[in-house]
Amino acid sequence: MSNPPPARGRRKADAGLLIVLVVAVVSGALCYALKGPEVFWAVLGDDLWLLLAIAPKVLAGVLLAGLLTVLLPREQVARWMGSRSGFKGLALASLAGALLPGGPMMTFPLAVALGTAGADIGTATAFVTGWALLSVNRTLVWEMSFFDNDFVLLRYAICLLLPLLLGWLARLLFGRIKGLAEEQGGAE
Amino acid sequence: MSILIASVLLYGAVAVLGAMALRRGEGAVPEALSIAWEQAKMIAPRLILAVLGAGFIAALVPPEWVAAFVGRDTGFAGLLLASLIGALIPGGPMLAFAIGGAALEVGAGPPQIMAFVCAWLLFNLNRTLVWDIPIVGRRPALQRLALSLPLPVLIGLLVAQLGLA
Repeated sequence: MSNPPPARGRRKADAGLLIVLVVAVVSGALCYALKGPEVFWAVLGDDLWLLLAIAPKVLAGVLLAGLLTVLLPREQVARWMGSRSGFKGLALASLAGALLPGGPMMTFPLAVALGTAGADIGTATAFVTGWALLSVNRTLVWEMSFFDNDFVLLRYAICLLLPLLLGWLARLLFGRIKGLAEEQGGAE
Repeated sequence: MSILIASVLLYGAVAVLGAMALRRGEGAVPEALSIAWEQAKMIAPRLILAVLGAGFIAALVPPEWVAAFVGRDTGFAGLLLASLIGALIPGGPMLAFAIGGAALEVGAGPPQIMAFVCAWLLFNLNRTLVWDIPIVGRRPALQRLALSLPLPVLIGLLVAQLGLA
């Protein structure tokens, strides 16, 4: 079964919902009280337009998340990527991080699974950083909702090669330490 | 125009992946749709509330405060402060991006907000403590974070130097 397990982070997710609910209600009430009804309704109107404008991107984001989850079974990706090494391994790991949808509760365990499948710290670093900086799902759904396209594209372009670079640096700086630790039987 | 191209690319990708899932059969398409639906139900209330909250906050906060702390002219100190705030913001992407977007609207500098966003993406203290370190282990997590440490400020400097945004 490639179905993701039910979200373990439900309780935390509800805390997140509660935070935005409180922020929205408090800031809305303050806006009404301090700036007057005209400003309140103008902001509300602008926000509704904004929501209409971002809806298609959010829809594409969730459709891509569903399709990628089904088409790229995570365990298979981990096994496949763990066996690649060199520069190709780093590039694939960055790409997988960017494409595989899912929050931290799915991404960090997969990074561990990568290690189990034979990947080194460089590959794991490229994967996690690829997810952190380039997650297509997060950028489509959340980032593009709050920033204009030019800003998002600029950030994405600047960050595009960073997962690769960090993975390479991690391999260079920490790969040897890990190797030594394992030699001494002190593997983590 | 760029919105049109982006939409065509996006839905092109949806169509291509959809065709691949169709060809695979075995209930792949219904499964993908049900995952998408679950995600949409999770996202919708959060996104709506975050957009509303960000709009109200942008209307409330005096622009001169924002400009004073993370405005375009705050330079390196502003980049550092923005990065620090980004790393500390709790509560998922909706809150961090909503705050960043609202700040841009009321006079924050694009380089500073770029640093803020990258710091949140890379460090996210809440995520690091709750997920990263417990799952990945302290050493690999801290090694990765140490390598990432200079990035938000460097990215902000790059954006400022090149006058990119």
